[in-house]
Amino acid sequence: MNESGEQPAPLTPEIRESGWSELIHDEDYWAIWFGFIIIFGALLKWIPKVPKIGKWTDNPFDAFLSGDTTIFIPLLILMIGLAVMTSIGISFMKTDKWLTYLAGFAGVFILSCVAYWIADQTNIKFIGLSYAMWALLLGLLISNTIGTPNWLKAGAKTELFIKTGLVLLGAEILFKKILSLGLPGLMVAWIVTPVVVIFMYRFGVRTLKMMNKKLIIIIAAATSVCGVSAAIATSAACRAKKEDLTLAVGMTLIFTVLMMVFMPMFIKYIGMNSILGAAWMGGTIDSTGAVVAAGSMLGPTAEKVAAVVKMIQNVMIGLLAFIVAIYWVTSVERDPNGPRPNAMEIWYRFPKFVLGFIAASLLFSFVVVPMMQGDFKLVEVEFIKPVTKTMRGWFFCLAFTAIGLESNFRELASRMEGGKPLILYAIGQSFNLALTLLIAFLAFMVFFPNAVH
Amino acid sequence: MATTAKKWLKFLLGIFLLGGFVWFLSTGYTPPGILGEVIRHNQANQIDASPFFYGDVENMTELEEGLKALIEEQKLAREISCED
Repeated sequence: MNESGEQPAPLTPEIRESGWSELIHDEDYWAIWFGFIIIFGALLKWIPKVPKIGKWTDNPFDAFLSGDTTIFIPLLILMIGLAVMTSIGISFMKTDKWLTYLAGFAGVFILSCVAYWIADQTNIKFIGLSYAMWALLLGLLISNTIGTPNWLKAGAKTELFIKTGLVLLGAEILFKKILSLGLPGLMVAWIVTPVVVIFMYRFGVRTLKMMNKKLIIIIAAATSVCGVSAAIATSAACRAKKEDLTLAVGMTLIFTVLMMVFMPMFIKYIGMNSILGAAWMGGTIDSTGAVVAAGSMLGPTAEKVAAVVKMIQNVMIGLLAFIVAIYWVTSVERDPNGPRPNAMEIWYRFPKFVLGFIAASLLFSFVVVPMMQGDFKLVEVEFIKPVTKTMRGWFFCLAFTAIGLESNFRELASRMEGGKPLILYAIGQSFNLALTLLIAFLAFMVFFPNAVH
Repeated sequence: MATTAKKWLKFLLGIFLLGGFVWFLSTGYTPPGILGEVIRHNQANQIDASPFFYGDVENMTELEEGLKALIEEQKLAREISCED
């Protein structure tokens, strides 16, 4: 038994000898292939635009209009395209019969459309409730009442959807963004984050004595980096169970709304400097949308500072996923009685899709952006917004629907360990709030008082 | 048979509750006083608070470029005031 309380997966001779065949039999590699097919499709303009469900206020059908035409046909083409592409991987991986998978995928896709449609109602957007919550709720509603039928379960390929979405997310992580606010921004976003992750992990393991280390690291990442997206990346990097991700995402979604409501009020009430307050919120509120909303309460400059601090923190997600993957392979899942794993064993156990995630980020940061004369905006308008970002959103929405369809409340309740995850979140977030305020004060008030004012 | 009916009843009840919740939120109701202040601000300024990643924020590039321009502007102003 290893220190996570789980039996480490033995490295069988078949796995050791599998070598090149993994490229077509392993889900991680398929996530990379799918991600890069879409990325190159975008770069070569083979995929000019991916349809998405639009905003609506009073008329629910407005969500399915793009200009004067409806988007039903483009959505149908998207569904068929994704189903065909992913079913090729499924048939090579031999996890399901591709025909069964296709039927299930159509069901999961339709449910994801419903989740997007709810999330795109303007008043719901103002509250900050994203598609992740609606997708989870819809899936949970089905799985905990009538039960998810087997044909639908066949299409719920959570890990494949998450990993493909993460490879696509890599295209949005542009390294130069970390210098957008100079040293003070870097101090708030990059000094606090690793300290909070380490503090929360040790607190969860040593003080709370939580058995589920994967849940600890997911909550720690969600609290300190960027909520849902960090939770997704970390859960995939340490190969956590779906229920762990559901719990962490549920907590982060609820607390994000609460922090968005109360933090600007508190900052205004005590008369804190708006730039300091903005940096504080940017470093602590989990999701970027909520940070922008809360920052905007303090004024236009504060809105910009809060958003950019959060953005710099968001860039850390790739590095975090990589470190967590390495740490899990070399330390947590290691057999304490066995020899230290050598480079080959680390390679075999390492979640390969993380490499696709990093490769996509490097490709966009150091090849695509320089090719476009360093014009980030052009890259975003040409490739990211119309294709990779929208497609990443679809994959994450499919993943959350699939998680809901495969989770049940009893299993979720059993992972609560008497409320320990909530205590971990509360203590970790309090520590995060205190440390971020201290560092933001030092960065923006003491060391670089003229950075922005 | 009875169990199946009970399951479907639960499902329909769930649909009804979820639908009711969505409808309630979509009306634009905001809690009174301080609790609803941020949401009212979002409604008035059309701020989408739902994105969880910076790439999903529609005006992120404008915010980032705006901040860079502001920093440059302030730096220039400081330099001019030093020269004076």
